[in-house]
Amino acid sequence: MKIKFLGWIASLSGKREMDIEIEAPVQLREILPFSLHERNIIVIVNNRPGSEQSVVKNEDNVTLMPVISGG
Amino acid sequence: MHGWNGQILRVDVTKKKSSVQSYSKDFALKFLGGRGFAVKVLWDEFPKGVDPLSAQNKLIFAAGPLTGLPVASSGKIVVAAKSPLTGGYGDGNLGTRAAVNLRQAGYDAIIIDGKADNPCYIYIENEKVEILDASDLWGIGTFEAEDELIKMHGKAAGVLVIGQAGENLVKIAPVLSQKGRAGGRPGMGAVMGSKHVKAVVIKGTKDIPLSDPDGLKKLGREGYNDIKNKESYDFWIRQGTMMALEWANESSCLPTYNFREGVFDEAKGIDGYRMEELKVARRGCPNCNMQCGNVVRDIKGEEAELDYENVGLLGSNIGLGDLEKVALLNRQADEWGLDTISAGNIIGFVMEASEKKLLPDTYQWGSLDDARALLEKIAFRQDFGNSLAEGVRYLAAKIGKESTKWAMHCKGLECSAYDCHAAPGMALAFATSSIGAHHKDAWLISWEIATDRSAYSREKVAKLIELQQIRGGVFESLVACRLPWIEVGFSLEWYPRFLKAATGEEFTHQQLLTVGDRIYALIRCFWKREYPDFGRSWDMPPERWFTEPLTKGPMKGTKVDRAGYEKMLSWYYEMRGWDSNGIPTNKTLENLGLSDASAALNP
Repeated sequence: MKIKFLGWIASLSGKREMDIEIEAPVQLREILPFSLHERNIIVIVNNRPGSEQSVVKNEDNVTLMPVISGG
Repeated sequence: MHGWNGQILRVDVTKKKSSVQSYSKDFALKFLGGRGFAVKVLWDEFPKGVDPLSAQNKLIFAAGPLTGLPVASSGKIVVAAKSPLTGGYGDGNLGTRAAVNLRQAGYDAIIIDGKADNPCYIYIENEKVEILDASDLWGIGTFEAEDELIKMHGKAAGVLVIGQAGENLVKIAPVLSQKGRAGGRPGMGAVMGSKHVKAVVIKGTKDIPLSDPDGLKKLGREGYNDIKNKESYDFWIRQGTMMALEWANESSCLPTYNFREGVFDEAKGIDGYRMEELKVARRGCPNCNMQCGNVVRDIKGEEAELDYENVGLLGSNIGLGDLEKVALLNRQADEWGLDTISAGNIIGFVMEASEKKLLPDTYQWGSLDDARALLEKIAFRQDFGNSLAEGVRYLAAKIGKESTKWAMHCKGLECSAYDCHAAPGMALAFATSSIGAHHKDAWLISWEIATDRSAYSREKVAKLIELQQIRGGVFESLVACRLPWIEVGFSLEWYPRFLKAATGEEFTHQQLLTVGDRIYALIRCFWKREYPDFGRSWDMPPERWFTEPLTKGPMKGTKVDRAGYEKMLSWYYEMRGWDSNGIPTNKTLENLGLSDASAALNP
């Protein structure tokens, strides 16, 4: 599965994208390199809102985005 | 009073006279400053139907109780007038040394009346106010004019200036400062030009009266440190608002080909990472420790300051995927004194009209030469540019043939850089924004994407109103920049504390939101007084978002559902205490302490 890290979250993860193979569905928090607890981060799973509790599969696309307020 | 100077400077450029007006604490507490002061003055002192480009219009520069103080991002000022672009209330804010100097000169606002016989500029140095000859400055760009004025009056002076576009009464001309800061999208620069005022130069050397100066200094320092220690701070310093480009493209809301699509194939060529490769400097507003003006060299090697809005509209929206070329357009717009957002809309509209064979000439998507030529036509009102300079609403009415469906504006003000096909709440935010389609008042899209962007819900409407209260009400009246709040997570709880130290007054968060409600209601009354038919039909987003679904990207096939939108609009009015036509009820106005407005609307 592919996880994209946008904005400052790329700094947090040290990369802009991460490809990962998972054998069975897992909660997102088990594969993220950092915790979302007390962080204001938007989680999108297959174009739908999610959370670190979302159960993800190998074919899913996940994007972690900062909350921003426009230029 | 503490926090407020309690004085407004009035300058009549017809009579070449100035005077100082004191105002009451009650006025300060009810309207706070900035936008609140501006709309109250325009409401009280305006007869209905004033021509925005006549001597009767008033150009207002208004600071607030936090402006110029050593607290987070407080170097901003509001510029307001009746808008020549929309015919309604118009304003904007910009960061400038002039904001700090105004407050240190002993004033909280300047109201400029009349029309000078010849080009002039207003020079203010504490109590000294002079109206000086500007014939040598008339006809030159904002960068050169500001350099000349700084040469004459010194580096400490703050300068508010217009370019050739403002002089030529181009209706998308804002006021500029410090070679890249602009405010007053709905033609505030044209209002200044109509008065033959090229610039306002301010030097102030006094202390702003404060309730607890030491406490404020300490609190301000703590606030700056809090901002600096935020996890997202370093990345913000790297990219500033330019990070939004990747964000918007990934979210299918990047304006592309005149808001036809929300994703752009060449987005990587104009995003924040590309900007970092070209970056040569960073600039910003006074009193800010998260300065967001990223300076790059454009394709001709000249410095240009970029932010997301400029690049979204002068890049993807016109099909241009080369940041050095976008930078050239941006610099040129800043020099001539054009609003980059509206300019990008107009150019996109013309390119689409050309593609649809509705124009005799050809303008190609993504052509730098065509875009630059159009920009010049607008700024100098050359031939076809005379129509372009009136904005897309006017253009669409002139061209006809269904072009009104893709003239991307609300209430006559062109849309900021967020495509709303797949963001109905953001469409409502644009449509109910008090000056037209501008992101300043409400930027719901982050919240909408994080929750459920396809929903048409009461929760979405309630969130929109809360954001309008905070952004369009509180921050525009403090006057301080809203970016520390969301972008790095600087808590709103700081602001009542800043206010307490500055003014000695206790403000609860709810009281500040009520000030926001009061301002919104009064602006609404202003529009209604100007336009007897003003109401629900004015609160509609561009037709394109209802009728032409996205054809690309992950949200392909999505458009705004009209029935869902209408439902949210009705909830919006109900929650605001406005009637079903969107006019504040007598009860709402009375509850907000606006009985005089109620009486004026219902004689």
